[in-house]
Amino acid sequence: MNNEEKYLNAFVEAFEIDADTAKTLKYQQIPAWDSVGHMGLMAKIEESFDIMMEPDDIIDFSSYEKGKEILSSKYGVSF
Amino acid sequence: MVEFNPRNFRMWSMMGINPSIWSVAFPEVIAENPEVIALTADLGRYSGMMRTWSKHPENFLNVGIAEQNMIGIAAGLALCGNAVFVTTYAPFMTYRCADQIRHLLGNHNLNIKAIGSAAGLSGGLSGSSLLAVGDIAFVRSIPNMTVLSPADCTEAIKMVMAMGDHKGPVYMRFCGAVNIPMVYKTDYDFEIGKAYPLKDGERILIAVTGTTIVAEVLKAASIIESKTGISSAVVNFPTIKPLDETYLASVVGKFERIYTVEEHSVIGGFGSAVAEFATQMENFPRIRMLGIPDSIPVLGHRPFMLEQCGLTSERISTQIINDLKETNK
Repeated sequence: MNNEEKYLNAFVEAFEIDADTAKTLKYQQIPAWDSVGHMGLMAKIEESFDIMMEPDDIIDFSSYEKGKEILSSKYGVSF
Repeated sequence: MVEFNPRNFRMWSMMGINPSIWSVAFPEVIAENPEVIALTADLGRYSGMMRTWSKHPENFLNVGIAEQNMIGIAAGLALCGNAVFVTTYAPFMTYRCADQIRHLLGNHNLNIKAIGSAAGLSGGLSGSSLLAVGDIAFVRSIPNMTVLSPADCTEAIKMVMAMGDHKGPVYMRFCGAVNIPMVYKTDYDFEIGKAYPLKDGERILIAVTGTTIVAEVLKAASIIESKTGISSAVVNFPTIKPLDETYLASVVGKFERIYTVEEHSVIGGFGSAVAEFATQMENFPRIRMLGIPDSIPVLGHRPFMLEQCGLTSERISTQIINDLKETNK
């Protein structure tokens, strides 16, 4: 599984949604992505990429696209 | 069904204790006992209750900013056979509701679980009235009360689930908000009344309670070992009353000295409970208590106040190393 697939899979598993929905998703756009769901997603992404994210990045992680930007710029994950 | 696995431990650590209690543990309590009711004094959103509240509105009640009345309502519900959880900030739960806690929870031994958030120095930025540094001292002096203090979010979840099965009044206090350091990284069995050794060692034992502080003590033990070569044992006490006397009796003859560490006044808290037990024992190791001095600290963010009160890993290790030097003079 490449990084793009791992990343997409984290959203699909965390929120039990399909891939097309995940790719355009924003924080609180669906009921599952509330503050608790957010922490579940962060834990899933950390586990998938074997990283530990800083609190500021967890707060800034506001959409599928924004998350990719944070992971690639700060945690060396290439997409 | 809650899954206790490393990913969830990390998730709960990021969420903090309030959401861990109300979004993770409390649904399990409801599943076991649909008659359980949680009361809040207008802190439902702040306490992270809303996710579960929206799914189980019949199990929650906001009484408004009326903490003492909240305990009275809880007592009525308990007398009707309901298990009741009540929550507000620790200083309001204990100091403001002192008479209600003493009379209704203690004297009447009602099945009410009182959860005090933002205990210790957590509320320091809001003023001295928001500090709760003597809550353990007060509550543990009341007959029938069980007093609990989790080490991290995983332990808080296990603790609340255990409270759901426990009959009788309980006070659970926790410090900090979000990003609570993890102590437990693998699953374990939690039981009210037991101490949990976290690290083996010799010569000195550090007995500790509370969120963040247990993690700081584990780091302090590493610092002590790197600077002195002394390997200290560390034991977590999530239950302050009843104290695990079986464990404490077992340390006689094994250690020269015991250090107690807590985010609470050095008067009347966990360290005092250990010292009270020691008076009944022959040859108990000498005890030194590390906690909040008997004065009003300069107010500020919790990390600033922990540093000021000597409760960071660096400050804890320095105090212990200096004490050992004094002892060996």
